[in-house]
Amino acid sequence: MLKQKLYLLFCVFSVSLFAQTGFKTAKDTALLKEKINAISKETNSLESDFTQVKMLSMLSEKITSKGHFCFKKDNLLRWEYVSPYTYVIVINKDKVFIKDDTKLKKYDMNSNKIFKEINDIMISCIDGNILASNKFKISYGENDKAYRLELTPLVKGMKESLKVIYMYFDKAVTSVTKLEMVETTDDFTIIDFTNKKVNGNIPAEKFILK
Amino acid sequence: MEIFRLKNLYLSSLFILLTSCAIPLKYKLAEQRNITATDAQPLVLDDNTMLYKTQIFLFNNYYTGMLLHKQTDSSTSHLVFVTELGMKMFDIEIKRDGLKMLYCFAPMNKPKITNLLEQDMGLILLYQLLNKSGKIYVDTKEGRTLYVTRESGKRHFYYTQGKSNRITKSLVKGALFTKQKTVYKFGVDNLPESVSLKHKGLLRLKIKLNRIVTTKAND
Repeated sequence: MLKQKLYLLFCVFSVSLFAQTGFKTAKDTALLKEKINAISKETNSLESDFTQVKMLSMLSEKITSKGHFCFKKDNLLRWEYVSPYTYVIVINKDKVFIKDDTKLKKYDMNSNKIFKEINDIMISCIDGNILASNKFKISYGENDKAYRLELTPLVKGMKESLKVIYMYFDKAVTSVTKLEMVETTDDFTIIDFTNKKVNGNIPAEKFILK
Repeated sequence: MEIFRLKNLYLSSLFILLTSCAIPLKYKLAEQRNITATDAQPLVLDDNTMLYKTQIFLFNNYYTGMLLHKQTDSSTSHLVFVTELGMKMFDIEIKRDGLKMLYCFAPMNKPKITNLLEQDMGLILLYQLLNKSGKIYVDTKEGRTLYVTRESGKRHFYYTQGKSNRITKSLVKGALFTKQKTVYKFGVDNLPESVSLKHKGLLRLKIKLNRIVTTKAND
């Protein structure tokens, strides 16, 4: 019990510490916005490996998933999980494909509001269009190594679930390096993108599951 | 001809009514008392964190992700469902006196849905069996046991696997029809490898769980 309380305290402390570690208000927010807008325009495709850690703070438990990620303009997304089990989710405009073992399911994005909401956040974070969104209050921070955008949800239906989203960019602002989503319950998800390849050729078949 | 059809309809209805409420003939009533964890093995053992690959078909929606069961203290455990993309969909607190939805993702957070999830997750975890008073029937030929309990006017039937205390099937029956059916498959370590639940009726729900075996359940 004491161990769990200490772990919970550590989690809460580490989230708040992580949220503050060395990040000050960005000196030149206009320049940062300009750079993010530029990568949003210039990035036609993005491919990377990812490690996703879901921290359930109340339970002192984390769930780690790993996989490969592909994005292509406009609105084409593929998350391929290889661990702890194989699972592929493809978003092709307004269609969602889910491949789970040998089963394939296809949905209309608009038929599932939850999915649409999550997808909209993900895509706009990755392609940088989130800056134009009126669904968040955005604060800009920086330290020696990175820029960080703090997105606080403003709209009903989102702010009940999400407390804040942090988007991290390297200092050269080439692409998103990390996403951190903190829920209202203080659980959080960190997605680290590694081995990135910007504007590589991603075959169209990657976004179609059969 | 019309009379013959009507007769057939009455007879078949009577047959359904009788068979749906009946205990299979091979089972004989042995005793009536409180059902304990010695009689029926709980789905999750204390201090054992379990992680399941999960599929939930709820009305016309399909959700996939991972279901984590964790004991947080001697009298409390939690069931948390997280999608592959990391969104927490629900967190159910389990105590001796009941299951309580602590958190449900906003678009799903409707009393009809949360009650349904609480009820059916409780059923999966044998919540309506353990520490409840029930009738114990025994199949003397094959050594199997059938536990029958009553809850909210419905009869719950729990069938063991052979002579073991592992429940492999449960049925919840209303006045005429089976409302819920749960099937458990066990692995070599005596823990459930897979669980599937089907809830019939207006509130349609299907849950499929497949255990993820990892070194620490979390990574």
